[in-house]
Parts: sequence; C-alpha cells; structure tokens
Amino acid sequence: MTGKWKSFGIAVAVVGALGIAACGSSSSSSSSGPKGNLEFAVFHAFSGPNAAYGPEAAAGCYPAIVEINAAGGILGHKVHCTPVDSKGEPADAVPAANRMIASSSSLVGVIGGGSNEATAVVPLFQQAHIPIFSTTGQSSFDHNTASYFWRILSPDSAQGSAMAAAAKKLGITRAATMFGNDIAAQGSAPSAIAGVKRLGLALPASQTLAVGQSSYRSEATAMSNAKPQAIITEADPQTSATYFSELSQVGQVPKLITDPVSQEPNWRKAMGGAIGTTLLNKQDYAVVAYSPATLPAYKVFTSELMASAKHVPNPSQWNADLYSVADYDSAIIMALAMDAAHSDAPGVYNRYVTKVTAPSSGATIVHTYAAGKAALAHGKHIQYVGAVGPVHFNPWHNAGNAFAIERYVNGNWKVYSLITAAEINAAAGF
Amino acid sequence: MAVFISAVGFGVVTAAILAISAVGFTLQFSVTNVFNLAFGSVMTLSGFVAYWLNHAGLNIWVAMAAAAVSGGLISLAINEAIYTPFIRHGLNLFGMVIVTISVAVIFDHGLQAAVGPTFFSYTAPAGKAFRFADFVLTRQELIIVGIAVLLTILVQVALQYTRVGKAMRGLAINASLARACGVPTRGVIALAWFVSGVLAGVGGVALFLDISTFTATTGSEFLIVIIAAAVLGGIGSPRGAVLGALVVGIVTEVGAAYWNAELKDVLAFGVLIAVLLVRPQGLFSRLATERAIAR
Repeated sequence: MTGKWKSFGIAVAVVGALGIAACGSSSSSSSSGPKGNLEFAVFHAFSGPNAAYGPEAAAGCYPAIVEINAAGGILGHKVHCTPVDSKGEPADAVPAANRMIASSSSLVGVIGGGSNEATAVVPLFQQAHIPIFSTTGQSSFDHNTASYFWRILSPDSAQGSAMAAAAKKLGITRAATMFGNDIAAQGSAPSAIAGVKRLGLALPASQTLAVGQSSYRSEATAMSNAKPQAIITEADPQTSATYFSELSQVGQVPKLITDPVSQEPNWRKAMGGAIGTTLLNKQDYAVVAYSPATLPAYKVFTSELMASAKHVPNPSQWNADLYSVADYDSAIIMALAMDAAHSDAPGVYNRYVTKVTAPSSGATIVHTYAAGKAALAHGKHIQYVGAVGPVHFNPWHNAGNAFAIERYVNGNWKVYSLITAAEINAAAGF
Repeated sequence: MAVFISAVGFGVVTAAILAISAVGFTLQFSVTNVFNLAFGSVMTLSGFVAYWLNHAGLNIWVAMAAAAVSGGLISLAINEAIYTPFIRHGLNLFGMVIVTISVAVIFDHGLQAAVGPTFFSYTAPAGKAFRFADFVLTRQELIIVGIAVLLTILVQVALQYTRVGKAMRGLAINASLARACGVPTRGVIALAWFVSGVLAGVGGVALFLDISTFTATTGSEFLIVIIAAAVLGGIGSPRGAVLGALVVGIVTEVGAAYWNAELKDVLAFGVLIAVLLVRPQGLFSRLATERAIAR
C-alpha cells in the first residue's frame, strides 16, 4: 500500500469520528434573557431528522408567555422562551443541557426532552433542581422517581394499548403492526402488539423497520402479502413516507391506526406527498389523548397561539397538535406554581406543581394564568384545568388521559370515537 | 423462490439509484484525491432545484436534467471557490476532509434555515406498475434504472475511449506524470468536478423520487451508503461503484425479506467489512494497483 493510499485508508477511518464530531457540535443557544426576566427553555430537536419537535414545543411555550406576560408576568418578572437544540440525540442533548444549565441564571423551567433524549437529560435537570415538563412517552418513566420530572401526556405503553383497542373498536380482525426501530416509535410497539394478541385479533405481520433507509420494498411486499385490514403504526415521517409509498405500489394501503405523530404537520406533509392526501385522509385513524376542543383553556391556547405569530411561523398548523397543547399547559402550570410558592426558585416552586393542579374540595377551578394568579392573590387554593383537560399527577409525576380516535376531515381533526378506560385496560391486560 | 426473485429485483432498483451517485463520488475522488463529504449536499441542493422547477410546472424528467446541470455548476463552484485555495496551500487529505465536512454542514444547515425543517415531494406520479410475481416495478422506477444504466455506461465509455477520459485516468494514476505529459490538469480536474456534480444532481433527484419525500439534509443522510457502495466496489472505479451498489442493494433487500428488516444495515455493512478484509482495495479497483505500479 502506497503512502497516499495509507493516508486514504486512515482518512476513511476517521471520517466516521469526524462526522460524529460535526454532528455533536451543538448549534443551540442558551443565552440568558434581559436582567430580571425569567426563562423557560424549549429543549427539543430543532435540527436533524426530528427537527419538527422543537417548533412544535415552541408553539406551546410562546402562547403561554403571551398569556403570562399579558397578566403582568410571574411575581413581576416577564418571561420568555429560549429554544435550545437537543438535536434529538443523547450525544448532542447532554452537552446542550449542561451548557444551558451552566450559562443561564434566569432559567426556571424546561419544556421538552422528547423520547430520544429524555433518559439522558432528566438526571441532569434533576441534579440542577430545574423542573422539566417532558413529552417523552418512554415507559421507563412510568414509575419515575426524579422529583423534578413531570409528564402531562400518557406514556407510550398506554398509547400502544389504546391503538390496539382502537383496532378492535373499528371492527378490525386482522391488524398488522409496523414501527420504526427508534426509541420514540418503540415506546408504544410492545403494548400495541401485546394488545392486538390480548384482544384476540389476528396479527398477520409485525415489522420493526430500520429507519431512514432508501427502500422498504421487501418489507412492503411482505406486508402486502399478509393482507391486514389495518396497520397499527408509528415511524418518523421519512420512513413512513418511503414505506407506504412502496406499499401503495405493490398493493393497497389498508386502514392506518396511528398515534399523535400523524397529526404533526411534517408527518402529514411527508405522507401526503408519498401516497396522496386523499388516500391518507381516507385511511388514517389517529389515536390520541382526548382533549375536548370545547375546554375554556383550549380556546385561550388557540387565541394566544395566533397572537404568537412573531415567534411561531404559520401558527394555525399547531392548534390541534396535542404536544403543543401539552407544552402550553406545562408553562402555565409552572407559572402558577411560582405564584403559589411566592418564589421563582425552581427548588421551591417545584413542590407547588401538584398544589395548583390537584383537585381538592374548595379549590377554585381556573382555566387561565390570569384567573389562577388572581385567585392565588386572594389566598384561594386553585386547580388548573388546562387545554388538555384536568391534570392529575400520580405519585410518579405522571398524568394520564382518555383517548379518542380522530379523523382529518375538511382540514380539521374531528373526534370519530372515544376509547374508554375499560377498552384500554382490556388491551393492556389490567 | 418468488420472494428471493422479488428481493433481488428490488435490490437492483435500489442499486441503480445508489449507483448513479456512487459513480459520481468515486470518479471525482479518483481524479482529484479530495474525499468530498459535501457530495450529499450537492445532491440535496440539486434536488431542490428540481423541486422548484417541478412545482413551477416542469415535467420531473426535464427538472432532473436541470438539476444535473445545476449540480455540475454547484460542484464546480465549490471546488473553485473553496477547495482549490486549500489545495494550493498544501492542505493534506485529513484537512481537506474537515473542509468538506464543514461545507456540508454549512450547506445543509443553511438550506434548512432557508426552506425550513419540513418535507418536500415532487409532483410526479409513479406511473403504471409492471408486476412479475411478487416483483412490482413502476414506470418511474424503470426510467430511473434506465437512466442509471445509461449514465454508468456513458461514464465508463468516456473514461475508456475518449481523450479526456484517458486524461482523467492518467491524472488519477499519477498526477505529476500526467502533467509532465501535457495533460491540462486544471481543465480535466474542473471537468471531473462538473461531471461528478451532474451525477450528484441526477442521483439526488432519483433518490428523492424513490423515497417519496425529502428534507434539506436527506442527501447527506444517505451519503454513508453511497460511500459504502463506492468503497466496496473499489474507490476510483465507476464499474466497481456499480458492483458495490448492487451488492449493497441486493444484500439489504434479501436480508429484509429473509432475516430481519431491523438488521438489514447490519448485514450490508457486515458484508462490506468481510469483503474489505479479503480485498482491501475493493471488488473492482484497478486504481490502487495502477497507482502502486506508477510509483
């Protein structure tokens, strides 16, 4: 081997490391706001394959601070949202979180930490005594012991059971499953598969796909040959689009039983481009945590969302996005907890989170930050019923939801059918 | 048997799509000795040129041709404006790898900032499907396979029989000797960058059509598979790149059909390592041998 070729060989060997290093260089920012301001970090992926998660969470944070600041701020402090790019990878998220914790003296709470990075970063925020309201679906947090971790939405295991229950409810007798092999998608896969079997449905195919491939033709052919009536599925937009495009070429796309990911604009755009929006809307049955659009807090959220257009491009795209709605509630709950604690110190107000959300006799039910702040100022106990509905945290700081099957009709999500707790429990084996 | 035949058929389609880009990557490296990790960014930029033209009403195949030209020009511009000054300063291979990564990051993130972190699709119906047992090919896929075959043959014939092709091969084997023999190295290198960019443009549009939807970083995300095909076939050999793409494509599809869809990459890259253990120069590379002889 000549010297030149030796050099080439070594170059190839280091390319991977260099690539990782390049990917690992975070472009996040965590600068402190103006003096006296408080800061909510929107800690999510703003770049990379899951780059839509960040804007989705920001679409919850910005409307909340519009509402909070309009009511005079928290204890006299204005609040702002700071996007911090976790890139959706633990290797990038950990240094980004460490930098943010070290450099931001006004940071009072974190919104975010999705399934891909939550396990890696929650211990950091716990150690720093900063509350994190996460939308991770990982079942490892079902019995969470980190006192600064809070989860408003149901875990993926409940989501998977609800998807299986939805299949039964739709009259499906042959339900296949297709999940991506990433952490986020795998959260609901085991409970969905177990639920299908437990409910006595046939499972003609169960696929776990390596995400981000250029082709899934063999997998799509195998699925087509299995002839399912429905596919219970969760995968990232790119993987879903490639797979279902190829499935539509080799056979027919059956009913799709999806999760809240399918309500994300990026997923719909990718899938709409792949199989056509008409077919997508016809076959898609999204199983999502149920939050009635008639809730007063939800109406406030949509109104404040529209007022956040300066920071949230095309804000209406998020008005039915459950994650954005949950992140909005997270910010409001943290703000009310600070008011209840008369302190913006995270180590102090964290103990007040349940005090502003738990139902109790004599508690004043509030749906907005302004109403909650006013009630607290008059010495009342409050229960915030947010845009996702009542938030009842259990001892592990998890709050569950009811589920609904929703369909996309004439540009809006409509509730098609409710899934009862009994139906979910039957799928979960409780 | 039907499953095997269809998996091989699907593998050929995947290979055709990878081969266009792998040939471009390997051709440029062999002539210029720059391991260009911004190749995926050129694919994406060209893919977006096709997207904008396609959504302005242009037929996708015409848009692909325009993407090819724009890919060539982008590739040429990157070399002239960024790489050549570094080469003139004598930056070594490692340094150039860092520069190409930097260019890729700047292009990908700059494009993402401009177009947003969302997905894009061409307006191009897949067309009539042709079915042979379980093996289904759409009209669009047939055209892409045809384009891949045509382009790789063209490149191979040009390298083998044309004056400029011979100059490229000479430059690849021994640049100093080629220069001493009167080969206009600057012009030949510029042409290599242009042709590589043209193939990146066509390869990008073919890939984005195949996967249905793409983002500002999709080209770079698939670059590792393209490089794998080029290295497996023998870096510097267009024929090798095609063979490498065939191995990668068929192994992944057969692996998915018979083994475990989740582990198809494990199988493909396992085969890559096994082959390179036996033939470090790749399956088809004469370039390493010729370079060794020239020294």
